[in-house]
Amino acid sequence: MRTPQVSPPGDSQANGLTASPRVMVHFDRAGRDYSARQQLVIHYDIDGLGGESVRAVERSVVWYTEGKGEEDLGVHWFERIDRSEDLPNVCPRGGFEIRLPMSPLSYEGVIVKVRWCVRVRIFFIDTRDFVSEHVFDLGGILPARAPLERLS
Amino acid sequence: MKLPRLFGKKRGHRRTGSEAWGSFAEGLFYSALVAAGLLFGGTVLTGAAGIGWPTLEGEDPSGGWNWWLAILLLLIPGALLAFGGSGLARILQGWGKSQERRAAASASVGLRDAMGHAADEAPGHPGVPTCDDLVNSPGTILRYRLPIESPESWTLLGLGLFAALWNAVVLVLALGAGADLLRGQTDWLLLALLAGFVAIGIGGVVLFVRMLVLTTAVGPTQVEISDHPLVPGGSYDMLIGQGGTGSLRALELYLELEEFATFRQGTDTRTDRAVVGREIVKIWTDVPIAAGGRFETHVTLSIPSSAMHSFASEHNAVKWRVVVIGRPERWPAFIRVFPLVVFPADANGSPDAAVEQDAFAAGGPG
Amino acid sequence: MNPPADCGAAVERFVGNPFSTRHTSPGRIESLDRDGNPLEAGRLLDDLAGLGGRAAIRGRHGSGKTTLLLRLADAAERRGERVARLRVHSPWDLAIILRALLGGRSGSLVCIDSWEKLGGPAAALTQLLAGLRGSRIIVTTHGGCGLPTLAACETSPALLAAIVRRLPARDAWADVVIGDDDVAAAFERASGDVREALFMLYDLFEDRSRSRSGTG
Repeated sequence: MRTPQVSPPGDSQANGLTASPRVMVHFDRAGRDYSARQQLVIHYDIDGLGGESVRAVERSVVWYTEGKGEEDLGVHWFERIDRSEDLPNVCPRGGFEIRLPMSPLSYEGVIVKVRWCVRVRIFFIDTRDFVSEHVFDLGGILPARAPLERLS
Repeated sequence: MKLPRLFGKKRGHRRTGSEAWGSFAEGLFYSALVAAGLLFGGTVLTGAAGIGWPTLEGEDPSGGWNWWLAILLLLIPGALLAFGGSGLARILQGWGKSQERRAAASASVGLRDAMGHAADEAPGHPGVPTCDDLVNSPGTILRYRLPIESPESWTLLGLGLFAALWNAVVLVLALGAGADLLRGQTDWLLLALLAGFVAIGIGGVVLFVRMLVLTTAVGPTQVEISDHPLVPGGSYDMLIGQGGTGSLRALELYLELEEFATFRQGTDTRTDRAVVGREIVKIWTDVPIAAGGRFETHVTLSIPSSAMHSFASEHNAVKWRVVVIGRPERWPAFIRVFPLVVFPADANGSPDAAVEQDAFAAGGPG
Repeated sequence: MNPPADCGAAVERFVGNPFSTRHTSPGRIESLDRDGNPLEAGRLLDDLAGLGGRAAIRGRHGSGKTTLLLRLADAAERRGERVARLRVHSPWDLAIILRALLGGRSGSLVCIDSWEKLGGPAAALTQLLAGLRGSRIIVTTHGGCGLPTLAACETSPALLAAIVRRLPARDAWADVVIGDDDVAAAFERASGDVREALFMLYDLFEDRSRSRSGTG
């Protein structure tokens, strides 16, 4: 059995909001496992907006590092929609399709990890924003084993 | 021409600032450094600082001090000019650009500082470092000769430079003291200073010679490879050449995977390292090395099929390397490191990937 | 929607180490006092006015000075103020401070990390310019620097425990991978340096997680 295709609300950050937005992201591949240069197809649903007016939506596919070092970030794809006539197409429902790159591949290292994720950021009329992050795997690299040697 | 406003429009209690005046102030700072460098350099070059340059007839007008010392002193104004000049250039480059446009280039979040820079990326492979420096040296037998990354070569170079520069200063001081003595003058301060400088100079030479003998005795290590960059699942022909004299109790060849993570810890920078994979490629025992000759052999290097590729970002890295450990009969062991770059493979790992991964992580035979 | 039972392993691999810098670096965690209670950024900003608009956050290595500095910066921005956040490495960084003071609005807040690296003359010039521009400055420093103290950061086992309680996905790992005894032991081994203790807990979490998942 595989993990469900739907990614639950995931990590989110609401900056001073009274509403409780939730973003459900649907990945086209079970287990959210992708290969390099494969197509990534995403659909998402946003609820819990609580009637607050949205002024812009940003969608992105990024990689970031995690571990004992400073966090680095790489943006593979980014789109901002802020024209009022385009917003209904992306909020509360939307989707996109992009081709994933050759690298960097997802990596579960010991002190360095590379993670890929889909981010959906909602900007409200009163300048506050909400971001939701949904991790997926690119490349199927096996996790690193315990370190043989550590130096700091 | 309209000057930028020092204070912008008043909005309630607030006034807007001016990015232009901010840049101007910063520019003044760097200009002051350039001016200081020019002033200092000018006094040295013109002799106003009391340092005499040899005349066309070869005479030294100031006596004692000569142009070697003057050249050394020019390093200080040189540094001021370099720092101030680069700062001014940066100001001019960014003049008139919006904050967002500049921020997009630096992508800095949180505290702003000047440290950190992204590694050069291989074209078409984001996050993968280039291997240009690893493929610009052709091998004698195989396609590429790998550069060495060991600290001992840098230490030898550093010691050599230090010994040379320090003893050059000692020579200048000695000439000055000698000239004084010949004129019947005794500068005790100069003599005391000279004694200390000579002691350090001799120490530097001794350390350098000792290290040179050690490096020469164990001989150079040469690693060549049939192709580069490497890919997971690939096998490559490698040539190992070890020079020196005498014999080695053992010569060991490893393939390693290492992670680096840099974190700015308060005012310091902390870098963590972890070796997360090590595979024995080959171990030779009782290796004789004839005088004037070298031990040379071929091995096959295999990269596990589901291994992570080389990765480099501003603060984090995953690096592959070949490590050669030699254990001479009569000298301390040496470790020489040769970096590799592994590109991502096109396909996912093979069914045997987990088995290969276990072997690699546990340091099993290749 | 409940995930299928055997997807635990797949989901688990997406759950990171809660002690990674992504969750613990300055600005990511709440600023707490010695007893582990939240510090009120608003009150401290009000205190700054009473101190003449120039003050220092003092504390030893890894005591949370930078975390508090960034929290105060965030709080000031939420109030609608213009804020500059700067880190000093040497007296040469006077240049970026000049830019921030003279390029920003009068009355803006300049937050400077590692104040003692600036050196006496540059620090004096900074204070002079800040006064002329009407800018407020908050700095971090290990010891005395001639500025009044806005906050003194001290560490304790209770502080570290409170920070750990606030890390993400705690239900999944607390008392399973890392327990209260581990946290107390890390504080002890790090001699009170909270940042160092968090790095130790990172390594411990990583080792134990890999052992449990069979990748150790």
